[in-house]
Amino acid sequence: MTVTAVHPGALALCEPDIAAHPENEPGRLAHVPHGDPASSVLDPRHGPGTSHRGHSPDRPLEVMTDLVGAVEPGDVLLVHAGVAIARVEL
Amino acid sequence: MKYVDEYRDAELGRVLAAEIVATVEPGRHYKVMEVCGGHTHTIYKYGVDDLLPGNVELVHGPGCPVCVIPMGRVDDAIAVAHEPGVIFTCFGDMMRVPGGNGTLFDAKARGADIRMVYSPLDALRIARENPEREVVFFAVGFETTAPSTALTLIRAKAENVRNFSIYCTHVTIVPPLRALLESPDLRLDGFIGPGHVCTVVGARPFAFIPADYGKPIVIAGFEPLDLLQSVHMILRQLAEGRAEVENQYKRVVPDEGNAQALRVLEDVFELRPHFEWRGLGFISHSGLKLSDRYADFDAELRFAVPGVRVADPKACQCGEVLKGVIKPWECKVFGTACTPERPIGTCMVSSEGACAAYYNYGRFAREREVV
Repeated sequence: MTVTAVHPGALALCEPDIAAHPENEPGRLAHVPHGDPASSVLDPRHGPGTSHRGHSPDRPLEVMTDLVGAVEPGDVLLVHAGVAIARVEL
Repeated sequence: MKYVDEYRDAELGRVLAAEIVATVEPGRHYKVMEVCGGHTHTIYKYGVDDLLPGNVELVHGPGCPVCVIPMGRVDDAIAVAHEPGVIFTCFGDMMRVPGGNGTLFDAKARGADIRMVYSPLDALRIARENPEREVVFFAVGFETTAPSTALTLIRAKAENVRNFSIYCTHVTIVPPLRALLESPDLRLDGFIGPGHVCTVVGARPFAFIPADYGKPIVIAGFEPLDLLQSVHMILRQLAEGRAEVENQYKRVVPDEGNAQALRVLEDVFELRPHFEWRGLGFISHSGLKLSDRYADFDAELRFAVPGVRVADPKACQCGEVLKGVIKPWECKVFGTACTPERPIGTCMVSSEGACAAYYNYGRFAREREVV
């Protein structure tokens, strides 16, 4: 589960390249500047040997935004298993 | 980091902890259940419990969807994975969940084509790329994850991807909470509500907790300050004699949930008459299956599955852990025969499992000051 910012310049919301590079921990909020995931991702502090569900620490993930309506650059979305399920009001 | 640091401020944490201490009634013992496994991990990762007085006890609930999958369902999944021509896909944490005949990793080692994906959309992509193969996705999760499966199925149907199917083990959170509240061996004072489930279902489904059982519930976020504030809100309700649904996670959770997501879920899924939960037994209307409109994508109809109920290993006490009856360290095999590397029970497998949280974050110091 991540929160992903929709970045300025993003054209189509389901394009994989605007998708999250989410930090890989459930229930965390992450602001991920476009094109610089390494500098924005939380330090992974997994315990040893646990596995995660629906997160993509190592590659972009296609994100569907069908459930949150029209999205503008600067919006922040809660993404789970490839689907944005909520807007974040900051 | 923006959106994160604000909720991990140590000084604010200490202020909230002091307010909690000031709110508790001396000599009274409070049991508060955090429903969601994500909360359990925040609590132990950040030492939130160390900031609480000893008479505020956090009890870990059944909100890790991997942890509640019974062994028989894992065996069914493995049987499907061994079907000729099948590419079986699942989230990473399901790969190591033990069934009666080993794990999906074991099945992969025996030659089954099992692939880890981050999203059901990945599985659908694999199906498009392999039209000569049957691609099955092992759908696991609560209402938070079910919309992802539903949207994928809608897309598969629209694109007429006929070699794609879902082995559905989605579950819903309200029925097991009601089962826990009816349980005679567990007395709880309040609940920390599952924030991410509530982004989809909203606050209303939890109104029965104060209405029928007189217990407060606070829907909570997943950062340390979220949890401290939520505990304080619960204690304040108790101190003031109130029992309500309150929403601490307003920045993400609208009270009404996500109407579009609920419509999608209603279209794609229907409730099973009953579903088996590890440790909790069969609970009515607690599991989802594909609706008739999507029956063509139902792996349970497309493939023969054994459907055999498998008893948990005798040494494993995941059931008691999931019900909050015992703490993970009280399990006979915790940290010895059962570790994240070699789990016996599901609670040690997933990142959201209570046993994994205790094991990984070294929660062996139990002494706290009682107010």
